[in-house]
Amino acid sequence: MNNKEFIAELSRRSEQSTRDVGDMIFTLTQIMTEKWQDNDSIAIQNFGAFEIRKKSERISVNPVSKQRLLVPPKIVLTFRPSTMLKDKFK
Amino acid sequence: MNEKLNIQNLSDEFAESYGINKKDAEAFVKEFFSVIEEGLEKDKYVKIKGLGTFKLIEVDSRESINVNTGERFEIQGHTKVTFTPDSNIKEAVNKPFSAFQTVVLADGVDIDAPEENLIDALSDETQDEEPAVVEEPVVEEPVVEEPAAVEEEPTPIEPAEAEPAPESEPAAEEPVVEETVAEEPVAEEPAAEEPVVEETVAEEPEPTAEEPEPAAEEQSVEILPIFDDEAIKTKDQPVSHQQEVIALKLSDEKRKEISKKADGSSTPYLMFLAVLAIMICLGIVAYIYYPDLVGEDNEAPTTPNSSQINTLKSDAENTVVAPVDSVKATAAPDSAATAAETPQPAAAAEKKEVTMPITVREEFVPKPGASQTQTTQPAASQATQNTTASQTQAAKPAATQTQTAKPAAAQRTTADGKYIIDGEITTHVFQKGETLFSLSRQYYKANGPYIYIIEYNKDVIKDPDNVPAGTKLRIPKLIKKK
Repeated sequence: MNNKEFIAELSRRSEQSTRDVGDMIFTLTQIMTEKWQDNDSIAIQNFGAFEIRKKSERISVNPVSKQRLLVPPKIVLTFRPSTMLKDKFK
Repeated sequence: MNEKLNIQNLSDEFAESYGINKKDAEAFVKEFFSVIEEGLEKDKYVKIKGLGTFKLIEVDSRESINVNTGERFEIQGHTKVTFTPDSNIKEAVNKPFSAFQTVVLADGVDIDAPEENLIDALSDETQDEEPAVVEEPVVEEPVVEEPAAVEEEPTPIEPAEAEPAPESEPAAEEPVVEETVAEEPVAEEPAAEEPVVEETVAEEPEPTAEEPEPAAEEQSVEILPIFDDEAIKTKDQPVSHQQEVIALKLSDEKRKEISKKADGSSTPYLMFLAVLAIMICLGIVAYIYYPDLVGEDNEAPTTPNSSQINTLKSDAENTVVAPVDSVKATAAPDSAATAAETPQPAAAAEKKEVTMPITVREEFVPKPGASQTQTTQPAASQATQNTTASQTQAAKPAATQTQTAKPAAAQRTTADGKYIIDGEITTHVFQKGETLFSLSRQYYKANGPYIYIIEYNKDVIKDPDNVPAGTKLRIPKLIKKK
């Protein structure tokens, strides 16, 4: 299901035009991004939780050239599916 | 910050910003996620622009061992839900760390060395932490001095000899600053020679509060004997080469410890002080009774030191005055944080001064007689003596300044004279997550010129360590001097 199909499906269900739905999705993702930028996690019941994790720096070695690289620390967004969702697709 | 939001909070926020009622908003948000779920069920794949991709991935069955019983069993193959965030979101989330880049480690750099690079690369972010780290290991300073000196100087024995004095100095410092004894240590042995020099430098910034400048020499003499007699004797027994070896070995350990320290620096300041005090006591006791074990108990601010040197090299001109500035700049937060009279900050400040000789030496080895009157390398001890003497004078007015609130900022804004400001490139609205360093990189492809941005925007930048988002900065056009 790509973005187009997703919007179409959502607009069918919420009985709104695809254009409106597209705008709403944009606004919603915008809000979520802001939250994540503030280190907030978002938990959706029966779906899962989006969490912000800090990955510490590490040294990776190129197996071919044996070159050692220092990979900097980073902040990532992770998704942890709820047990319900997990069980559903098991 | 760090809050956990549920669907209610999210839909409330959504309702507000999209201008629909809360009920509809919640219905929409719920629908949003249930459509994702359905899409996964149907296509095993849902892609949403601006959010990311949800996918179902098959996991093969595999064998595993029950940790408790040791029995082998098979984990059934199953499908799991994965989510890959959109690259926009990835970048937005990682914005605070976006300045970092993967660095190739040179051969011969040991595993812990990255700390240096990191701190260096980070330096604007770690500025808050750095002084804290420096402040910590009061007793162990000399070891730092040693590796640094060994690298830079042809005669490593000298620093080895110099070692005992600074080491014992904090110990002597705290309890007995006031006491007065005659010139014993000077007569003691040649080893005492250098330490005296170091000492004068070390003492300088803090006694100035109480005593006038010419007393410097005497002071060092005063302070030395009390602990030094003991300390130097015990220390000098092991051959200096051994000391070096030990010190070098230990530096690894120390770095690790420092990195730990850096992590913990967010703990309350009082706790930190208490721990620091205990550690100093332990260190002193350990040092007195088990001089050989000193290495294990103590740690040295190797990283802060070298990073200091790095920043000194990159930011400042190769003049003596410039390093003094930046050293003081780091020294400043300390003394600003607590009154300079209390023993600990004093010791910390003093330590920074101790690091100065190193930088000075470095500067002088490559270019003898750069800006002062010194000449030859073999006369390094004399050279440092002179320069440190001149530095202490230079340092003094500033050292007293550092007791006021924000000399760090003032110090840093002194441009290094490498560039000429020629007009303005553009006006930049300071964004959340940006730093002056990042701006500098963006416009000048280097960290160094950030001071010009501060300089040029003096009127808007009140505290360079904390520039509020939305500040309008004028970016000066810089032309490199030849």
